[in-house]
Amino acid sequence: MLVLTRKPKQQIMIGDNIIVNVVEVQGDNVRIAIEAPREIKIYRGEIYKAIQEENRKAAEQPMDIDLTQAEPENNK
Amino acid sequence: MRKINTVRFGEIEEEEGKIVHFEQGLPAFEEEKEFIIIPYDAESPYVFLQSAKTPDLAFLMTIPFMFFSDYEFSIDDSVIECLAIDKQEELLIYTLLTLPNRDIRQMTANLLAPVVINTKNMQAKQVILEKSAYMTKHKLFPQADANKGDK
Repeated sequence: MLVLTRKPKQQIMIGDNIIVNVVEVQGDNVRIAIEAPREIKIYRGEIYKAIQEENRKAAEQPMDIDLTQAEPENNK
Repeated sequence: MRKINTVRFGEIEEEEGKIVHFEQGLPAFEEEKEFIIIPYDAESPYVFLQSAKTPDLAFLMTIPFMFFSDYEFSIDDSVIECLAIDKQEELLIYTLLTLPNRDIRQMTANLLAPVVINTKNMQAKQVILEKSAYMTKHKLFPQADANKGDK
């Protein structure tokens, strides 16, 4: 892992086409602007982690569940 | 035809054209790139997303609009490009389900990350709706708790 110290308005280049700008730092919060090609997906880490975790849980379904009694109730 | 070994359904033969391709896998299952869809039964809103590679990996999914009639999201350009989407009518949308403690009434849907399948080329992706207010757990049967004492 590479650890860098940057000041507001300074940048980090990742490869040739990803630029990470440190916009401002206010107390606990760091505002970051990222310029990257469209095919590079960028997520907040906690969202991706939450989905990984939910997928892991979803993969642990019991084999023999009876879903015949679980029809939609047309709830809103 | 492709022979697919599954723990749940035994050995299945599936046409190559019906295999769903997740080029990037699914979050936490990045190496799982091929799945088949197996209906729970003909009338059911539920389907299984069975891995073509891992016999004991199958997710339970449903069509979210059947339970959440006002569910909506937009698909951003990178996904349209990635799945080569032409028409909305060619898409299948599913949502993964989680079932805590074997209790179907407590089942939740991950509306934050729907599975989008382009039926034209069978390319698929679990799309993360980064800017939406949806969560990973929405109860399919929100009334279930309230009705507990009724029986």
